[in-house]
Amino acid sequence: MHGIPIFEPARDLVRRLHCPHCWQGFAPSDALFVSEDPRLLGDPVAGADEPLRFLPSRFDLTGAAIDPEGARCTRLACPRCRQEFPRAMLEVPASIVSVVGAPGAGKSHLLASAAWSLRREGVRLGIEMTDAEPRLNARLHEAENLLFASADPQRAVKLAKTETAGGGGYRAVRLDGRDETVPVPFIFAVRSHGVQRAERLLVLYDNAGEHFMPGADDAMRPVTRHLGRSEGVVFVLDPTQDPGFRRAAGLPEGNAVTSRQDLVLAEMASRIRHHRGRRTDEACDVPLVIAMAKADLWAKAAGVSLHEEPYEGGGISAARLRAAHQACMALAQRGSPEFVAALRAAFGRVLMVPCSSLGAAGEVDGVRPAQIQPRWAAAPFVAAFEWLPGGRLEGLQP
Amino acid sequence: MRAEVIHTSVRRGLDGGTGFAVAARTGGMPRVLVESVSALSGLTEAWSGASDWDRTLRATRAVSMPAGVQWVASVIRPSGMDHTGRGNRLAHHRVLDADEVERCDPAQLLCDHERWMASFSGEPRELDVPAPLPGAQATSGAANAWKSAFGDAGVAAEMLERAFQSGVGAWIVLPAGVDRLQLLREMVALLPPANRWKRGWSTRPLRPSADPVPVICVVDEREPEVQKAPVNAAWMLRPRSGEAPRASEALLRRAREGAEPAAPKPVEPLRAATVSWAPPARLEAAAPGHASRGGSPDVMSVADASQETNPIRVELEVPLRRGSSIFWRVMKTVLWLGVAVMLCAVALWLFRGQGT
Repeated sequence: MHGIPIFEPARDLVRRLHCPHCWQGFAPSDALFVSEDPRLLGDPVAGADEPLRFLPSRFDLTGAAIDPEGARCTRLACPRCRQEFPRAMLEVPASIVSVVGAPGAGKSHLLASAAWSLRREGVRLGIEMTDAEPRLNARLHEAENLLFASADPQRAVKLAKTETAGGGGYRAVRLDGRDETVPVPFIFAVRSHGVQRAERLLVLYDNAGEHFMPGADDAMRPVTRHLGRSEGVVFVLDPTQDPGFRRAAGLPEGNAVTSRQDLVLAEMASRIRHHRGRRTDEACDVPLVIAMAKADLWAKAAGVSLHEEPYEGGGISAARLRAAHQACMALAQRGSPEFVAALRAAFGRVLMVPCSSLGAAGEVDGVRPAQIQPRWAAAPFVAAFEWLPGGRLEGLQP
Repeated sequence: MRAEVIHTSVRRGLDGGTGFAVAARTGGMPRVLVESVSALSGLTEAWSGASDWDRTLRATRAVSMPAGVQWVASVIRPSGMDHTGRGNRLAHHRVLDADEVERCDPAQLLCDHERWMASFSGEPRELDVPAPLPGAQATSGAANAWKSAFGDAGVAAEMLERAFQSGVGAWIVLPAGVDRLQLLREMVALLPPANRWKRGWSTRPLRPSADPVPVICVVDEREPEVQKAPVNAAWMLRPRSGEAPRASEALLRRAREGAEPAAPKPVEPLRAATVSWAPPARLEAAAPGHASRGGSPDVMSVADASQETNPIRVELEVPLRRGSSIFWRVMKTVLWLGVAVMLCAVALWLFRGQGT
């Protein structure tokens, strides 16, 4: 005889999790709840415009907390910075993948294109991806809508340059009497096809490139400290910003934007070592995917066919990735040996993946959505995810 | 100190870096001041279809520095495309010295279009120390633009008084199509000059916060931040049309007739008690009108700013009333009588039986 189901079945919780905003580690029992009663507005850390966070002492039968005014609460917040995080983080392990690159390298475009591709073609790409908490990914949705779901696809659009403070990418919190800026991550629930691996949360950050410049990391704005916790890094390299690379790829010199991306890479490696307490002469053990952006402009020179995507049999192909890596590395060695030297000095596991977020060069007033055809846009993220322990590419040595 | 900072997206910043960086600044500025001012440069997205004028943020804000509070006036506006072909913005900040704060009108400063840079060209460079700002111009004082928009200039008085009482700042949400800058100018002009810098002012929404100097924002109802905010947010004030505005008589008269700001009231002797701030557990704690338990601050009064509402440390003002003074005297007498009775009782107990 079956009993009357009074209580929800117990959920398995992770033993410890890290806040995706400030990376504070804490047990699930220490998580605060976000009050729902409209009268409980104003939190001393999260801000006067945020609902009060509280450690609950009363729960209902489904495990939801009851706030001091009696409202049922399900949203959770970090006990330190009091920023909201998805409830799934209590139940599923999360993996941080940092997205790094110089200003103007194309991080935001790549993230928007990759997210759009993964949502639409998850089965073919071997990964199912959904928003862990749609509200928290709103900024990414806006970028996707602008590029891929425009009402008038012939009207040129452009993504705004990512702000270094304020906007939707960062939140100001008051910790111990001082203001601190924390980044707002994008969090996805991801499951790969064909392998016996439980669902995992993928936490991505879209920092402004300025934050990766030397000297831009400080205690008041610790917005790149995710590098100390990340299990994988996607470094967006814009080869067209490197004069040597442009020459090697046969691109016109013109009045192109140039930047020393090898310095950004060295700075990133330095921060990874500092935040993990590693020796300065030690290679970083985190797997690094170099997303070589704007490949539609230089792929032919490298001998890479962007029409042949790196997926087969409902998943990513290690053989195709390896071939593309070797072609990209050869071109990088010819065009930007200083970048390759910095890469080899700092990282043990590197995979170069060509990609093009838009598949078409922009015009003066932006890019027309009708012309956008991303190529390999999701590949760097699929590769980074599958390179994590338990993934298809675990153990890959390009 | 008087100084200027231009923060925008450039190939190479004056102090290094690329992308959003300091393009120009006054020579000799302390690094910590440059960084604090630069951190104010963000421009949030506006609603779809907003013009560059609508997207422009004009604000005066107080920045806490080791040496004290420093006032910064800023105009941050869209500025075409940067060298990478992406949408750019230009932030022009003016750091004010104490004399300028005393002399200037914040709204007039923000409205002075000639003073603010619209685009930056050329190499990154150091700027000369800017010339002192001129003093505030006299105004009629009447809130005519408010009258045109809402039918009664007294609405400006009500909004101002309510916004001034909030300890975390306020958003005055205005209907689409009104000239926010002009409305802001008229509202600030209602205040006595000494009170105009007791709050920051802005034409785009800035997050309410427990900063030492709250900011009053005059914002468009189409702003995404307004749409996302809780409907009953205490810091959001919406002018009501068709109802008689409620504000102090002097402020209403000033808004409607343009009368001069009222003379300061004679200040009663005050005794200050300090109450530590606690996290606002209920709406009332952060709501306008409830930030100070000692009563609403009078926007027309030019009493010392240190006696005003402070969201972190609330100075509770307790007037020395005649009634309470008599009460304390009676209490003291009762106490002394009690002590005398106790002493008598002890003496009687010690000397008991000696008389027999």
